This record gives sequence, C-alpha cells and structure tokens, in this order.
Amino acid sequence: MLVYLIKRVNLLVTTLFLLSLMSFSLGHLFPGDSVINFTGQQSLTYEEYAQLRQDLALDESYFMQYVVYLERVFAGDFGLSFSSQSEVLRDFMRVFPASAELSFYALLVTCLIGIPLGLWAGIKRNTLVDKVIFSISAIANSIPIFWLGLLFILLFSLNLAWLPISGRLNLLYDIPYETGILLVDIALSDFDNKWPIYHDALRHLILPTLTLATLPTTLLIGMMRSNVISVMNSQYIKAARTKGLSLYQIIRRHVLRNALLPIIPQFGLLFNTLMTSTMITEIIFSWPGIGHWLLEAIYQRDYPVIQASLLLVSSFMIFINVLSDVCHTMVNPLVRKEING
Amino acid sequence: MLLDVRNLTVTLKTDNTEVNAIDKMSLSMRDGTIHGLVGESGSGKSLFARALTATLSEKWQVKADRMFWRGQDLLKLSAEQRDQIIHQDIAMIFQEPGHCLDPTATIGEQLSEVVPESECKGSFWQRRSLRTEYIHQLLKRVGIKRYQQCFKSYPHELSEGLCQKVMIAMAISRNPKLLVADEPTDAMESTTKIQILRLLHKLNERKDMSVLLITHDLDAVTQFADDITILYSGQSVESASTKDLIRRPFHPYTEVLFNTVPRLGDNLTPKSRLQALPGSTPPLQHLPIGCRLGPRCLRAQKECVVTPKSTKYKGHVFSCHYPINIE
Amino acid sequence: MASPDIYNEATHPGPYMLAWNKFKSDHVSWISFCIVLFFVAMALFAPLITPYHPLAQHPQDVLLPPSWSSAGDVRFILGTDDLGRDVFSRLVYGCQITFGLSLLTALAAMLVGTALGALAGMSKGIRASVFNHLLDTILSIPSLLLAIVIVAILGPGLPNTIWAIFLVLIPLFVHRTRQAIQTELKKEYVTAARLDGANNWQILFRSIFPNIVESIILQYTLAVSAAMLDIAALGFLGLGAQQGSPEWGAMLVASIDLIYRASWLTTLPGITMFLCLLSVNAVGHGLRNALKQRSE
Repeated sequence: MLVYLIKRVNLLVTTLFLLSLMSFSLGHLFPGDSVINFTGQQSLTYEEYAQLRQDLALDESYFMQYVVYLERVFAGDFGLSFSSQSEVLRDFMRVFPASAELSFYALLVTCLIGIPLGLWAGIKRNTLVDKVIFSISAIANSIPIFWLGLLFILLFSLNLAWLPISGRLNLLYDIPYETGILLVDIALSDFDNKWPIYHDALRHLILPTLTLATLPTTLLIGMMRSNVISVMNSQYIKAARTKGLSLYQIIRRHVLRNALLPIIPQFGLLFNTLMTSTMITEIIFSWPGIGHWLLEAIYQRDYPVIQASLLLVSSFMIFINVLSDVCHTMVNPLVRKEING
Repeated sequence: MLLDVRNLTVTLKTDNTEVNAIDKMSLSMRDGTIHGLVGESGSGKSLFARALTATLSEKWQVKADRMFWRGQDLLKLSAEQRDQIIHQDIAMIFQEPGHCLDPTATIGEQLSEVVPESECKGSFWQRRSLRTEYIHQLLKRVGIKRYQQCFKSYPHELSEGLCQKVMIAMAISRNPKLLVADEPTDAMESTTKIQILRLLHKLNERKDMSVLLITHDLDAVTQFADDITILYSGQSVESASTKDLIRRPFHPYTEVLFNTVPRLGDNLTPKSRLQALPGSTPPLQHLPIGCRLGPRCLRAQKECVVTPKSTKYKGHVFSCHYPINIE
Repeated sequence: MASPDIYNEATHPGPYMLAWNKFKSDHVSWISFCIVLFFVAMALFAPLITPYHPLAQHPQDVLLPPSWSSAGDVRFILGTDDLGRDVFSRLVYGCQITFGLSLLTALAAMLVGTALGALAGMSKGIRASVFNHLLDTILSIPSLLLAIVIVAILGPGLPNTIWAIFLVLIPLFVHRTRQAIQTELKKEYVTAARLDGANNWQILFRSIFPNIVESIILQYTLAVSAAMLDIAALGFLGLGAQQGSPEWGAMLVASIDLIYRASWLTTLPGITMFLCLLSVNAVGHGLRNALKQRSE
C-alpha cells in the first residue's frame, strides 16, 4: 500500500514538474519579450527592465531561469495581468469560486440524474425504458454544448421568457464579494429579505447548470449502464438469485456497489469534460468565471494570465485525477488485491 | 421419492429454430441419498440443474410430463409458489466458486444475508452478535478452522476450496432438503476435491440432506454416489444404483463410459489404445434424430432412428433398443 | 477424402466480415453510416451542389427566412444571413471545413499517434516510464484548454486551429494504442509467438496489430467527433475560423447578435452539426457493439 502511495505521489510530482516546465517554456514561446511575458509589467524604465532581467536570471542558462521561475511560482507570484495590471493569482482567486460553484452544481445534477437513470437502464436492459434512456442520452451526447446553450436561451429566455439570459444575479441586488460563492455570499450579506435574492440567483443558475451538466450526465449514464449490465451478468449475481434474495436486495447489496466502484477512477475524465464545458458555458451565459477570464486574456494577448491559468487549471485537474485514483484504491478491495498481490 | 422427473424437455428458442437441448430426460431420486448425474460436457447436466431451480432465462422453454418435488408438481404451481418452495428446500452450489461470491463484500457480510430470521430472534442489539455467532457456527460446520479470519476476508483472499466451503455454508444455512452441486470440484486440486466431496458426504449422512452431484468425474461419482443417472447429449441413457451400474451395465454407452477410465489391475498391455467411442458429441445445431448416440454406437441398427422408450429391468432404467448384458 | 465434419456445411466468415455483417444488421448504425457518407459527399462535391459561393453577398435579399416560411424565397432554400449570403451554400461549405477537416486531422493524428503508441507500447523500463508520465501530463490537461494555449502561441486562425487540434488528438491515439498493445502483450498467444522465436517487430505486426486495428478505428470515430467539436468550439470562441467564414461554429457565434430577428441562423447550423455528430457517434457505437459481440 505504501509503495502504491509513493508511486502515485511520484506520478503527481513528475507530472507537475513537466507541467511547470511546459508553462515555463511558454514564457519564451509567446511572442514578445520574455521579461514582459514573465512579469506582466509593461511600462518599465530601462533600469527597472535591466533589474528584472537580472532577477529572472534571463541572461543565464535555461536551468537557472527555470529555478527562478519555480521559486516565483511557489511564492505565488505569477506576475501581473497585462490588461488589469493586478496580480494574476489574485485575479484567479477572484474568478475561481464562480466557476467552482457552477461546476459543483453541475456535478451534483450529473450524479443525481446520471446514477439512477444509468442503474435503471442497466437493470431493465433491452426493454423500452432502457432504449428510451439510452437513445436520449446518445442524442444529448451529440449536441454541441454551445448550441445547446443558445437553444436554451432561445427557448426559455426569449420565446417563453421564463429565465434570465445571462449573468449571476439581477443588477438590482448588490451583494458584496466575500467568498465568491454566490449562495454563501447572499447568506453573509446584510439584506433583510433574502428570499427574493435567492430566488433570483437560482433562476440565473438553472440554464448554465443544465447546459453544463448535459454532457457529463450522458457520459455517466453510459458508464453506469454498462457497469450495471456487466455486474448483472456476473456469476455472483446469478448465485445470489439462487440464494433467494429479491431483486431489490440484490441491487442494494451487490449491484450498486460493484457498479459504482469502477466509476470513481473515471471521475477524472468526467471532471475533464466538465472543465472544458465550463469555459464555453461561461462565455455563453456571461458567467464571470475562469473560462470567461481566460478567453478575455486570449483576446487581449494577456500572456501572464494564459501561462498561469494553464498551470493552475491543469495542476488542479491532475490533482483530481490522482485523488480519484487513490480513493478508488482505498475503497475497492479488488484493486488492493492487484497491488498487494 | 424426493424428486421424480418424467420426460423433461428443455427447448432453446432462437429466432427461427427450436432445439431440444434436453430431450425427454427422466430422473428420480430417493430421499436422503447422493445422486450422481454424469455426462460429457455439453450433455445438459447444468441445464437440468437450472431447469430444476427455475433459473433459466426466457430463451429456454421447460416442459415435462411431471416434475414432482415431494409429491407436488413444480410445473403446475404459480411462479411465486414455486420460487418459494425452491428457495426453501433446494440450495445450489456452482463450479468456480470464486466467481460466485461478490468480490467487493467480505465473507461475513455475504453470509449474513442468508441467515434466516428465525435464527436471530431477540432485541435488535443482540441480533448482530447472534448473527455473527450463527455464521461462525456455519463456517465451523463446513470445516473451516480459521473461521474468524475467514469471516473478515474478501473472496479473492481465499483459495478456491475455501470459497466452495463458504458457498456450501451459504447453501446449508437454510437447512435445505436438497443440495444441487453443479460440478463443485471442477478445476480443483485433487486433495481439495476430496475434501469438498467428503464434506458433502458428511452433510448427507448427518443432516439427512440429499445431494444431486452433477459432474463428469467418474471416480468421484462411483465413490460417493448411491445412485447414478447417465446423460448423453440431453437424453437420459441409464440410471441405477452405483453398484449395479458398474457391475452390469445394460446400455452400451454406460459400458464404454466406465471403460474409458483406465483402472489399476486391468492388465492393460503397455501402449495399447485406451477405449473410446469414435467421433465426438454432436453440437446442438446438428443433433441426430432418434437415439442421439446412434451415429457413434457400435451396436446401432436401423431401428435406432426412433427414440427408444425407457425400460425398467432389474432395478435399471435404460433407453436402448439393443441393450447389452441381457440374455 | 471427404471432410470429416459432415455437419458443418455453413461457411465461417472472417473476423472482419463478421464484424461488418453485425454492423450492417443494426439498422441505426447502418442509417447513420449512410448519413456520414452523405456528409462526406457534401464535403467533397460542395462546389457542385451549392447554388452560390459561400461568401457571395446579395444586398437585396438580406435576412430572408427559409423558403418554407411565407416571407421566404425559393432561390434561397434555407434563407440568407445579415449580409445576404445563402445559408444553404454556407452550410455545405461549412461541412467541408468542420467535418472534412476533422476527418483529415483525425486521420493524420491517427497515423502519428498509432506509430508513437506502438513504440511506447513495445518499449520497457525507463523509456516507457518517462513516456507514461509525459502522456499522463498531456492527457490531464483538458483538450480544449490545450488547443487554446497552442492557438494562443501560434495566433488565431483556421490553419493554426487545425495544427492545435492535430497535436491535441495525438496523445489520445498514443494512449489507446499503448494500452491495447500492453493488454495484448499479456495474452498467451503473444507468449506462444515469442516462444516460437518471433522478434518484437514480428510480434507487433503479425500478432498484435491485427487484433488492435478495430480499437484504433473505434478511437478514430471518437477523434473525428472530438475534432469537430473542438474546431467548432474554437470557431465559436473566435479563436479558430475567422468571422464570416462558413465554419459552423463561427456561423453560430455570428448568429447570437441576430438571435431575436433571425432564429434560423442559430438553429440551422446547430441542427446540421448535431446531425453530423450524432451519426458519427452512432457509427462509433455500432462499431463498438459489433466488435464486442464478435469478441464474445
């Protein structure tokens, strides 16, 4: 077990190392002067420029430059953003909660819809229920997310006028920024009557969450369905039936656990999809999150921001991947066997 | 009579064809005996077990003149009643026991599912310990010495033999009348095999539990079974008590089958050919009509294209037009 | 002498034929395969099919709705956009860009990725472990983010987008091939071949490749749909095909401003793209089913 953990940590460290190497090389690869790309400071006098060049060790070997870069990264210094001239890390921390909040709700919706539907379809294999669920998820899987977002807007906001088009909250409500997580911030604010604000915030949440959740949900349904089918066909379920357990007991005691366990390591993949979709969803619904921020940065050639967000987002993804893998090993006795045996 | 099956036919229905995988098979079993069901692989032994326990999928159709379980015709009962009787009285163990246990649950958890409610009466905080105690008893009874360790293990941590013992423990937890053992010792080491078979024998003697031992292992069957039914390609060939069958088989197939096993003291000349029938068992798509042994039988004649009726003679039941060892 | 097994008159089709027959017997996959072929034909013969050039403007006929609406015009079957360009012609040419280029990009990525994957799969020790880590790193980055970064380095535009997507797709093929090879290497028939004295190359080409071809083809269908999504997404984000180009994603983003007045500009490219993706995915699914049933 210890060996396994060391292996995983080793993987994490090497991957992060490679990632930092990639991010570092971006500073040189981006067009323009690397001093400016690394620090983001644009209006520099000649002396300041020379000083910075020395601080970054740009005249020395690439190895020294990389060491200096790593030091800065660990100190949390990703330079300044070209456009806002504020620290990149601070900007990142400011927009991150909005994305995290949206992704979290989408993930919640995904699990709440995906797992039961996948289970249902898998148990009722080759019946009408299964075919309907499977076809719908296959169709939803093929809808490009940006078109889905537009369709939702067209239908629910423009034609039916049920839900707002974009943003997180009506401009009437001025919620002070505390944690960045809107629903928490509302609770922390000192408005007297919070219900209409919650109502408004939730109305704003529905469309982006649904748009974002569609693709991961279809993926989860597919995974769950095939897992359930393979478990239902296994010998031990047949044996359990001859023991006289009812279908409900078999599902609750054996099928659910055996079908859910292999999904844990797939969470990395699910998260990957979610992350990509988040970027596009945020653009469509003007959601002030990471995707929005990154796209702005690309339009304006804001290299420090691009560099930093690549490093931060990817590190986050890798962390999630390794974490889900380790979790899976912790809970699944079968994998433990492979490692120990 | 514990079990009396007459002319059981199991049909496999595919899109456009129907095949009788089991064709008019008969089997009767006395109370408290070990009954061996012997046949080559693909002869429909496992199918019979699954038809008996009603665990076949919808593709299969089961018909029989009668299928009496302790005087009650199982086929005439409703599905619920039938399931109830089967779950109460019949338990089953399989080959490859390692695959028959949920790989993600401990042995203790899986055993506690089958502990009958009647065994753990008491207030709910006592139930847990009662249950554990009962399971420990079960494990001891099937001869697992380190039962406490076994209780906490996952299936993959146990050997095949231990897994089979756990399966047996699960099967006997409800005190069934009949234990159907579907090739329980397939692909096991010979020492483990004997352990398992002895265990079944012991349970049969002490608990008065009948065992239907399905196997292709002739040694095991002749050693442990009281009666034997031989199956060829879905048709019952001959059935009698083990002694009679070995001493004086009436059906040519029976004789050949017992002769395929070389025995010590048979005075075989070195490098002589072992006895075997020519050809191989027919595949399901190309079953011959009449007596299915026909094309391979050395004594076959014109009449053999008609399915022979089962005849009773001197305690044997056999189906052949030209039996041997009869004057 | 007559064949000993008189019972087996039926011929046994080869493994590829078997998979193909299975695939054809499934109606959904077969229909979607035809639709995919139809899209391929559209991409190939775009100039012959379309009545107008995709960029030709008709200032008199601006924002005409599709011809079945009362205000529509038969000359423009699917209506026109805000500059009077024929939507039908643009969709067909868009098929050339979004779908046609995805097919080619995925093909190129497949060739490169499979070769690299074969190298990675057959290597052992330090080399393999370095490769694994590198691969894990790249695979952990969301593909769109990676494409965006590559585009940011190279600068926006359709050619750069294609390069970016090509680079992003390669690791997927490498991963798939490597994994497939590693699984096959553990099987006994490979050991048997090795005991017969086959060297690594012989094992790879004679034993393993015929057994993993299907899984690579399967990955290809996945890659095509991923490439289409990424090309369109980058076009939608304004990083890929330029504004005004008939690329489907770019057409969608241009329609946002007109969503009140001309909803067909949003729905039509979307439906086309959806149909295309759906059929590609369905073909992939049918293929997977056919292969799975064969292996059973």
